[in-house]
Amino acid sequence: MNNLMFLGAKSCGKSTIMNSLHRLLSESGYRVFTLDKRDYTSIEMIGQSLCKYDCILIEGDELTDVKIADMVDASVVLVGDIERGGVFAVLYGMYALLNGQRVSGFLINKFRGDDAILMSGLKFLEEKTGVPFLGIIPHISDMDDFIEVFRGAVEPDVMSQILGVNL
Amino acid sequence: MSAIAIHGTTSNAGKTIIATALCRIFNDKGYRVAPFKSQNMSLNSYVIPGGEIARAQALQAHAARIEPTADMNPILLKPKAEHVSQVVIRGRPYADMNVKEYHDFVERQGREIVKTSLKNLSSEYDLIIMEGAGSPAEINILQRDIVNVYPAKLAKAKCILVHNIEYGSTLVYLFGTLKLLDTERELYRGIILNNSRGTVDTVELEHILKKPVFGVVPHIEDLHLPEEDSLSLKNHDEHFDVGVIRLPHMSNFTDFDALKLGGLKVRYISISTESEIKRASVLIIPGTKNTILDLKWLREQGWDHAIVQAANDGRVIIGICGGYQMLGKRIIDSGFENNREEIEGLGLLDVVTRFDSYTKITERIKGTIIGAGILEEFQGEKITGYEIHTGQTSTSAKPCFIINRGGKTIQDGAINGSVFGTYVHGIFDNPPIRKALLKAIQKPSNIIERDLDDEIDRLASIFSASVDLEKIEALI
Repeated sequence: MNNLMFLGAKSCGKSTIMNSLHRLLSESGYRVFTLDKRDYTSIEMIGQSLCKYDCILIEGDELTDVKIADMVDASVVLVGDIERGGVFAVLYGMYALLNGQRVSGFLINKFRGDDAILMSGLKFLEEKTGVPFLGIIPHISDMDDFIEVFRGAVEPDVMSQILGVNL
Repeated sequence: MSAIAIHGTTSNAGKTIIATALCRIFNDKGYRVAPFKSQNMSLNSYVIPGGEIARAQALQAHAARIEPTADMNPILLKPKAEHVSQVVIRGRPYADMNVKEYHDFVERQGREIVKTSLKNLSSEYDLIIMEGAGSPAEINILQRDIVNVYPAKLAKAKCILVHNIEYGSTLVYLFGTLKLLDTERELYRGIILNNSRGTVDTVELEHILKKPVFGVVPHIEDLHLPEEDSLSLKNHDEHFDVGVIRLPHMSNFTDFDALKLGGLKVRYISISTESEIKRASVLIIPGTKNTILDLKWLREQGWDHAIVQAANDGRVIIGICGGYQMLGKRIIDSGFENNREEIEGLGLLDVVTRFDSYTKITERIKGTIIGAGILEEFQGEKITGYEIHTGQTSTSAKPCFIINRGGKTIQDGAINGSVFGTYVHGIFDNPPIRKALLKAIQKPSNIIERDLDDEIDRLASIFSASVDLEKIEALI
């Protein structure tokens, strides 16, 4: 099973996404560990979690956090907050500044409206980068609702491929 | 004619205040400056001769020391219900449209409207300060862009890209925006970082972006400029005097800015803070895009009883426009506001409102206070303001004002003790009205009022001190 880093700007909702994924995977019987930012410096802690868990989830705020993804050989999912605008710019900016390394998917969070309006943008970015969109998550504040919505919003095939297991 | 365009990496990047600062700074330097924004979405409109435009462009025109005109904001969208907006073209209501209808409309006519207004402005002014909307790199809607790159190219504008530092990921947002714009990135001559609360290293940014950073503008505490839209309504203080009922379709948020300037603490009361209805010395029911729906909503919350109770306790209750209609006995809709129906108002004023036609009154007015009750002491004082409403109200109660509208002298509003209602927006901009409120709640009125021009000058001087103005002026 693969490790995953969720990288995105401040308050793009990546921790909610990670918590949902953590719960979904745990419910399916996988041993999941969410690596806290405080643990980044503890090589020992990272080493232990690699042995004990099936999957490590990591939250990244800055591009430089990708060095943690390197340490545990994690794939990077880029998360963009569409409520604030500039979502394609922030996703493509992260991708380009990382030279695409380790990037395995894009997620759009906090969307309101009809996703048809986004399609030409998604297609453009997928063609430009070769990186797939994993889903468009609607704007939702309740955590329990979020998990259900998250499950419905992500592309099961692509997500399973990135995780190395079925969701 | 030259043009400078201010674009943002996200919404709320601070484009409006930066454009406002530039309007004042270059007018101070002797340029004839005009503001421009193709399309604005806002509930706050400003009445100009023959129509209305977004409040933000009216503010920028004020900063440039000129009268606002419809060309400065040729398309104004006023959200009306979920996914439906009233579309105002060059000052005049054109139609209500849903998202799809509006997109089709923009594709058919948007660019022509923008082009005509820009042409009108360019014949009269030396410099146009253009404001974009959202991010210019929304690649899914680039084809029908009328707000960012399209008008900038049309006016041969030099563009400045602004990022709000508080949102983080500064390099990522700027880099991604420029990179996605591809061939258009040459339009961008520099970067402004906004809303900073510390020091920022710009050397690496300039190196990677290959664009100069013109400056880092600090977060400005307590800037008393009219707020652009409902997103920035904030509740700051524990103690407050005036509670404004936050109606779902509330409009004209700027009605209450003057209260803050006058030393009254204002709080918006929403579902999560409903207990505050009991704590407000003054309760205001504001204007709304839909009186009947909002009155029903008020009843669903049970707030109608709380408001009537407050009136019985002798607290001050004020209804503005739609709020005034709600304070009356009855509202009769012949199908022009929503459906054909008749509903009861809160019954605090002896007035009846009818929606018998689509006729909309949009006019600046001048008048005189004649009201009794808490206004009695201020009889004879002059007031100004504006009206934007549909619906006709008849009353047997004492009026608040005599006003001159379109050459005719008429009575406006109704007052009963400490409860009054009026159609006049901007009513709190008038010092006698604020004094009447302060007096009614026994708060001393010796507060020094900060003038709008002083605030614009303060903004302009903070901005001038934090950016390289010579580099910006060299763009002209």
